[in-house]
This record gives sequence, C-alpha cells and structure tokens, in this order.
Amino acid sequence: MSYFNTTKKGEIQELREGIGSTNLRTKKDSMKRVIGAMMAGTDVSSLLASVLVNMQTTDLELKKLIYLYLVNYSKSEPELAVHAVNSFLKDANDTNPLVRALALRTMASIRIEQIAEYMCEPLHRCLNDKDPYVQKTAVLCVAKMYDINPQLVEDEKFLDTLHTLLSNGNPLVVTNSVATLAEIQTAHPETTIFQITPDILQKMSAALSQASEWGQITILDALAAWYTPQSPKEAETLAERVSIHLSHNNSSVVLSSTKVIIKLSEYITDLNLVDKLMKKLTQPLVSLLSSFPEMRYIALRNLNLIVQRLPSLLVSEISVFFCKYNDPIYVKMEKLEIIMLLVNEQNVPQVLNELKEYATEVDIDFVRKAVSAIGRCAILLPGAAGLCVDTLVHLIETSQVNFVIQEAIIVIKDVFRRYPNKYESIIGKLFSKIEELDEPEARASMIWILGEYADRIEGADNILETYFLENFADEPHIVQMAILTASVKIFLAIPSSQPLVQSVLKIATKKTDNPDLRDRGFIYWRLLSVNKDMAKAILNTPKPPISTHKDLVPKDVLAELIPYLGTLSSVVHKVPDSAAPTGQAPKQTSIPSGDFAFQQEELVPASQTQSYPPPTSHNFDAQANDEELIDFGAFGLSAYNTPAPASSGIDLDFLTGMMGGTPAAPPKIDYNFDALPQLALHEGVCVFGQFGQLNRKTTFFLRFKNNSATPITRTDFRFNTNSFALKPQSADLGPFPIQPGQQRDVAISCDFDQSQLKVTGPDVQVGIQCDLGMIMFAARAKILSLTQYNLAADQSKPKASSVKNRNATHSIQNASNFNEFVQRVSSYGFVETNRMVKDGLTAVQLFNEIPALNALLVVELILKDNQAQCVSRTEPEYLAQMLNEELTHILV
Amino acid sequence: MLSSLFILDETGRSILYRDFRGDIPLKHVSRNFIAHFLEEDNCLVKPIFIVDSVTYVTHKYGDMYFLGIGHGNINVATVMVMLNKFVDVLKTYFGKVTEESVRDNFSLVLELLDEMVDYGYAQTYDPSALKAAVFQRSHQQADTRAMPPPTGAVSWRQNVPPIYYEHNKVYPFSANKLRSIVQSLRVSTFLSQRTEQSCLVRSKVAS
Repeated sequence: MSYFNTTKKGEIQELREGIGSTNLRTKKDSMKRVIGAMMAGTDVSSLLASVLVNMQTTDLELKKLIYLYLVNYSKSEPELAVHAVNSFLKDANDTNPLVRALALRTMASIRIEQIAEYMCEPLHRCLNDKDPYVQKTAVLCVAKMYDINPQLVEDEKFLDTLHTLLSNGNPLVVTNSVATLAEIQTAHPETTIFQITPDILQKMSAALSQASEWGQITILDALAAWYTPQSPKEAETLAERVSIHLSHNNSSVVLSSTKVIIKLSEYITDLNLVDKLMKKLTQPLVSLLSSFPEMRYIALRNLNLIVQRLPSLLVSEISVFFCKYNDPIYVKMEKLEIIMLLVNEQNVPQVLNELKEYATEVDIDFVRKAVSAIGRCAILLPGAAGLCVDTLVHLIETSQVNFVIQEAIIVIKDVFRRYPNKYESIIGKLFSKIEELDEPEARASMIWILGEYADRIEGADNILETYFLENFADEPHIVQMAILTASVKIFLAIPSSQPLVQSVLKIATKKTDNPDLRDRGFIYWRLLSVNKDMAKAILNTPKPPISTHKDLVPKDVLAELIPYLGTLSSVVHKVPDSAAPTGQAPKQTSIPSGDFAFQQEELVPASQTQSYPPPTSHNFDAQANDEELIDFGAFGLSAYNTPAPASSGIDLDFLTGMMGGTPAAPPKIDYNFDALPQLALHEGVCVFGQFGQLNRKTTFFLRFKNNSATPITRTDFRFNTNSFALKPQSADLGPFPIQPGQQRDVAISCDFDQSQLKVTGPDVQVGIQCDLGMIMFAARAKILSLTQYNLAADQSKPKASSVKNRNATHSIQNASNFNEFVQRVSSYGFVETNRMVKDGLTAVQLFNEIPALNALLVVELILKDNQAQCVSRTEPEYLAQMLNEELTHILV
Repeated sequence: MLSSLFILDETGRSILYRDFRGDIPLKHVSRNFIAHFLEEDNCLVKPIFIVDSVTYVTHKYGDMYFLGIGHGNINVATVMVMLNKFVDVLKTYFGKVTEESVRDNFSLVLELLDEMVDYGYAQTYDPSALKAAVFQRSHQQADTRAMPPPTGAVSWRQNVPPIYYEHNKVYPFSANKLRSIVQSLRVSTFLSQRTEQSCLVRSKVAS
C-alpha cells in the first residue's frame, strides 16, 4: 500500500483491484476504504459494478459494508442496481435472521420503484417471520414502501397485517407497527389508516409497560395525537398508567408522558384527581433541568409552554430556574423567560437579587435581558414596583457599563408609562447619565421622558437643544421622531420654547426625505397653528396600557401546542403546519426560500388593498413574477415583444431626431436631472425619474444609468394603466447602445389616452424592457403637471362654481406675501375666476381643469386678519389628496 | 423522524454520516451547520435551528458535534436523547469517544447505527442486544500517555547510554489519503531523555 499515490484514477483503480481480490481481508479493507471515501464526499459510484459482484459473500461484516454502499449509490445507476435484486431475494430467505432482516432493510432503503415491486413477496413472508427481529424490521419496511409507492401497499394489504401485528407478543414489533401507522396517518391526514379504537388502545397500553424507552415515546406520542377518551373513567385509568413513566430518566419519555397526562386531565371530571395528577408532574419536570445542556434547552422551551398553561405547577420551584454560571447562553435566556413567567409578589425580592447578579455578567444580550426583566417585574407587580425602580436606579448609579445604563433607561420609560406621575423623583438621576446614551432606543426613550415630563423638568427645552438637536439630521429615524414629538410637548408645557419647536418643525418638514417624519411634522405644525388646546388634548391623550408580557403565546395556540410537547413545534412555539411543512424535502436552490417568502409577504398586502404606497422607491421586481398581483392590462409581458410604435413626437423633436439614426449626443434639456429620486435598481441598471413639465407638457424625466456590464441596445418604455390616463409618446431611450458606465437623460413627453385610464392610486407603474429584462417601478404622478395653460376665464367661471366638495384646508404661516401665493398657483396655468375684497378679507378663486380625466380643480386662497388659508376643491375626489399635498409643497 | 445523523468535527466538517430516510439532500448540511451554528452570533446560537425547512438538532460532545436532521414536526426531544445515548453506546465500545477513535472505527460506528436506528426510529440502544447483531470489534486506542517516572530521571533506553541532543527537535510528516479519512502522521523525534509531549493536530483543509 502506497501512501503517495494521489491521482484519483489510481486510487479508484487500486480500490477496484482490492475489492476484486480473492483474499477476504484485502476485500474487507478495500471496502472499508470505499466507505471511508464515500463519507469524505469522494464520488466512488464508478465502483458499483465491482461491488455488486461481491454481494453473495457469506461474510456478514463485508455484506453490511456492501449494503451500505448500495443504499448510497444505487440511485445513481438504477439499472445496475436492479441486478442486485436476486441477491437480496436470496438473502431474504437466508437461515440467519440477521441476514434476512439486513437484506430486507437495505432493499427497502434503496428507493427505486422496481425494487419495491420485487419486495412484496419477501415482505409478506418476513412480516410473519418467526423471529421478532426480522418482523420488527419488516414492519418499518412497510413505511418505507408506502413512501415510494402507496398504492402498492394498499393493494397488498400490508396495513391490515400491521393492525394484526399490534397484538404481537414482542413489544418492539408492536411499537414499530404503531410508529409506521402513525407516520402514514401523519403524512396523509385525509385517510383513516390509524384510529385508536378501544381494542387498539388496549393493545397499546399493554405494550407501553413492556416497551423500550423509544417504544414508549412512540406509543405516547400516538396517544397524544389521536386518542380521545370516551369517558372520564377511561381517561383516569390511562392517566394513572401513563404517570408511571414520568420518572423515567429519558427526558423525552417524561415530556411525552406529560403531554398525554395534561391532555387526559381535560377529560377527567374529578377535580381532586386532576390536582393529584398535576402534582405528580412537578418533580419529573424539574428533573429535566439536570440533563445535558442541549436537552435542558428543549426542556425549558417546553416548560415555558407548560408554565403558561399551568402557572401553579412550578411557581414554588422558581429557584430551579436560576441561572448557573456555566449554563450556555441559550439556556440562560430561556431560564430568564420562565423566571419572568413565575415571578410574583412573594418571590420578587429573591428574583430581583438574582437579576441584579445577572446584570454583572459578561454576555451583553443576557445582561440586557436581565436589566429589562427588572423593569418588567415593576410593570407586572404594582406592589413591587418601588423595589424594582430602586434596583434600576441603583444599577444606573453604580454600573460602569454603558449598555446596562441604556437598557435601564429604555425600560424605565415603560415603567413611567405604566405608573404615570409616580416615580418622577428619579428623573434627575437619569439625566446625570444623559451623555452616555449612544443607542437610538435609549436616546429615544430619554427624549420621550423629557417630553412627557417637560412641565416638571427644569429647562427641558435647553436639555433637548443641547443634547439632541445638534445632529438632528444624522440621528436614526426613531430618535428624530422622538425629538419631533418631544419638542411639541415641551412647547405645550413651556410656551417660551417656541423658537425650539419652530426650528424642529422646519427641519422635519423641509430638510428631510423621510415621509413619516415629514408628515408628522406637518400634522403637528397645522395642529399647533389651528388650535393649541386641541394639540394639547391630542398629544397628551391617555396612552393605552402597555402589555406586561410581550412573548406570551395566545391561549388558543397554547391549547393546540400542548399535544406537541417535545416536538419541534414546542421549541419554536408554533403550531405544526406553520413550523415546518411536512411532506417532501424542498429542492435545494441557490436562493434561500425564506428570503423570497419574506419579500412576497411584504408586498402582497400593498397591492391587495390598493392602498396608496409611499411615493418612489417601491420595488416591483418581486411582484413582476406574480402576474395575478399586478393588472398590467394591455401592458402584459407579451406586449414587449412587439415593436415599439413609431414615435410621433410633437414636442420631442430631439427624440425623433435621434431615432433618425444620427448617434449624436443627446440634446441638452433644461432640467436638473441630478435631483431626480432613484426609482429602481435592476441588474446594475439604475433608474431615476419623476413627473414634471417641459414646455407646458406633462413629461417624465428619466435618467437611465447603466452600471451593468452589458451594453443596452434596445429599450421599450411603457406605463401601466393609471389614474391619469397617461401614456408615453416615445418608447425608446436611444441612441443605442448605452455602454456600461454611461447614463442617458431623457424627457419623455406624455399624452392622455382614455384607454389607459384606470383609477388605482397616485402612482404610475412604469416598465422598461431592455436587454437585461424588465425593470418595473412606480413613479408618483403630479396633478400640477397635468394642468391646462390656455383656459379662458369666462368659460371657467361656471365650471369652478360647480365644484362643491370642499376637500382640504390648510393655513399658510407667512401671510405677508399673499400675492406671491396667487402668482405661484397661477404659474401652473390656473386662471383667476373670482376675487373678492371686503372688510379686510381677500379671497381669490383659481381654476384649472384636466379634460382627459374630467377633472376640475379649484384653489381658493383667503387672506383674513393677516392669516392666509388655502382651500382646495376637486372633482373627482381621488385627486383631492394629491392636489392638497402638491399645494402644500408650493405654498409652504 | 430523524432523517440523517452526522458526526462533525470541531470545524463543522463531516467525519461520517448515515442517511436513514433519504428524504433530505445532504450536500449542504455541513455548510448550513457551519453558517447557522458555528459562525452564528453567540447570543443567537440555539442547539435546534431550522434551515430551508430542515430541522437541525445538535449535541456537542468533546470536540465533536453530533447532528441529527429531520423534516416536518419531528420529536426533537427524542432526537436529542438519541444523539446523547448514541455517544453513551460509543463509550461502551471505545472507552473514550474522540474524533480519532471515531475515525479509526468508522465502519463499526456505521454498523452500530444501522442496528440502533431504522428509518429514523430508534430500535435498540441496549449494549447486550447490540453485541448480538454487531460483530466488529473496536480498535481500542492504547493508552499513549507516558507513565510517570517513579523516581524522577530514569532513561527508558536503559541498555544504551543516555542520549542528549543539543537541540530538541520534532519533525512531523502528515500524509492524507482519500481526503481526510485515512490519515497518517509520522514524527521523527530528536529529544533528549524522557520528555512528555502532547501533540494537537487540526485539519482545516478546504475540500
């Protein structure tokens, strides 16, 4: 044997020779090396033929090795594997029961249909074999066969044989029969293959006492899943019987027994007996915690469910859940969860001492959870809240560790919410640590406290300004929102802080691109300018009580989960169907299926409810795969294959010129393309765009940036049916090609086309078909880019007065340049239809229309007592919201 | 139930495996284990995790990981106990369960598994019952530790004069055959007197 012969071919050849050797020892050694190579992931399937030759060997050890090899590789060459059938059949008739069982077991594991057919005859024989070892192996072969060919199993009536085997004298045969029947029943819930009749129950409970630990689990699991007691008496008897197994040292037996007993106890009417049964559970469940760490984790996840279901069971045992220093982190976390479920007014001092200890440990996440748990105790137990708050304050004052302080402040915010006006005395101590807060959530919590108790904190406005306002733009979203709200609350409490609130509102509404922040800013702004008392009422409204337990399993789910103790469901706390789908394993793909499902989940509601999605940056790529979700109408995928209609560019001279074939540089368009928002990113192609106006025509400004490695040689540009009947005049972004790294700025002029009209929302869905596939995105349309410019005032007047709906009113802060507002609105083609000046009140009515949509737009600007107001009215109503928003933009 | 059982080394590479049900592709198991267990954030590591709707049940013993995978709502507590008791059975066979002893006896381990688990269901873990079905003997690792010298410095080369090297040197030479299963490590030593040494070999060769 040479160790240096490393070429693969040489190795395989060497093994082939070894297997073909006449010396049994060499043969065996070579076979072991083959298996070794198989385990290491080397492909040794080419040896199949040489291995098959040796199947007739009488040496059991060699036979086992050969069979092991066959199970792995016969699938790759089914034709060759069928040659093994004769040897299998011969072995299944061997005088040695070990050989008979081995042959049958291996044969059934080779998942090839032809082999399954050959198996029927020996399987019948082995199910009735006189040796129980062969029988119990044969029983599981039925399950394997059902997986390959269910019809064959039904035809051959193997399941009937299994039912008779339930009364076999050997417990292993019985439990394997139960396992097989249960497995088939689980995989095919629509059938009635396995039903626990009183007769079968009798057999199962008889086997239960004799079976091995594994057999007991099988029987108990089957009982928990499918058995319903017919009478309280029956339940009592069985519960009594099962309770014997609670003291088993196999943790899984304990869990399976527990779930059967809990389930049975629901059918027992004698409450004393139920009480006695439940008491029996306590010690075995506690003993689960002394097993090895991974098992402890499973036990704790299960105990979590049991404690939620039966809180009284373990409440006196809380100390067994205290963490040991050498517990793995995942065990500690679970223990903490259960401690929080069991804590009450009596044991809270003990628990707080423990939690204080945990706060000094090294695992950051565990420490944070412990600190947070102290706060949860406070929220949970009003009687102990004072003690808990003292503990938290002690931690804040003494802890050198930054994240302990931050976590404490986060949870103190919740305590304040739970007990308003009770613990404000500690606020001063909190603010001494204000400079140490660097995590968003901690900062946001601090700001919340600041706003909430602005009237009691001296110089709250200064604190906010000094510590939080400086880097407003760089703060995370949650902190920005907190600052915004707090500044308004502070203003309501301290009117002298008006400059502060104004500057915050200004930043929030003008200098941010976050729609949530901007909208909230606007709401506060208007609220404050319209009615301060209302603002006060809204902002200081009583808050809903905060939930005390965040992670409780809902009651109905809990009831469903109890029969699944010990299984995956009980660990992930989800009902089976959602925990992991049963049935065949998924095909391995390069894309993790989880991510994909997540994307769909996120997008489906938006399109189903037809709600207005936020403008821009909406990813339609995922939806594009699902045609049902998007109604693209005439804009179906097939439409892309037809040639683009010839452009009839009226205002698009430059485009038609380009399409004439002169690959000149695109003409300069007077528009700032750099300011366009990004709408889509697809395979390296970046699309920026927005609706606007060019030469008084509705235009879609588009920047098409090719960051991919492929030159773009063709494009087709379309709109989906939209609320505005818009249709692009050109479908082409030429001249081509657009080389990698190049970008193309175009202004696509849009027409109205009634066939494109379908009221969907403020967004227009845009599709660009190019060499890299379809790029889809949504662009927010602008009403003010659709308006007319050649209206005559006298014709407009009656139309304007016909619009009745008053849609929106908002006031304008700076009323001094009232005429400028009128100017601005007029610049969009609005004509003045009415003007009234009377008693210091000036009212100007402006009108415009969009004939393609039958839309009438009326804007009234009113100046009274130096207060300006803008009222807009539209018809149809779906444009109101949009017009209002756009007016806000041009007026504020 | 249990679909396949793996024994993995410290780095998550498979030492051996046994596929009981053939319903889960095994190609990515080791990779997923490394990504979701070994390289996971400390606070997110759980002994049970799900990847692509396949459940992974892990049990650490010594420097090895025993991994059971399964599909659907399997009884993870049972699988965990099976893994734990499997180690116990191996102990009765090899005395000490280490990566080395598992590699040395891999065909015996596979044969044992074949008897202990069928189609994912635990059959018999009883050592006496197993002995009736499994005939291979284990290669017991001889105790290689040097005996403590009874009185201090006594040369074990008693018949030759004591050898002193100016520099104590060890030359290891490792040869891998068939990837990782068959390995040999040869060491030439030039060591003065009776030195006790320990040698740790880690293999982390990308396959």
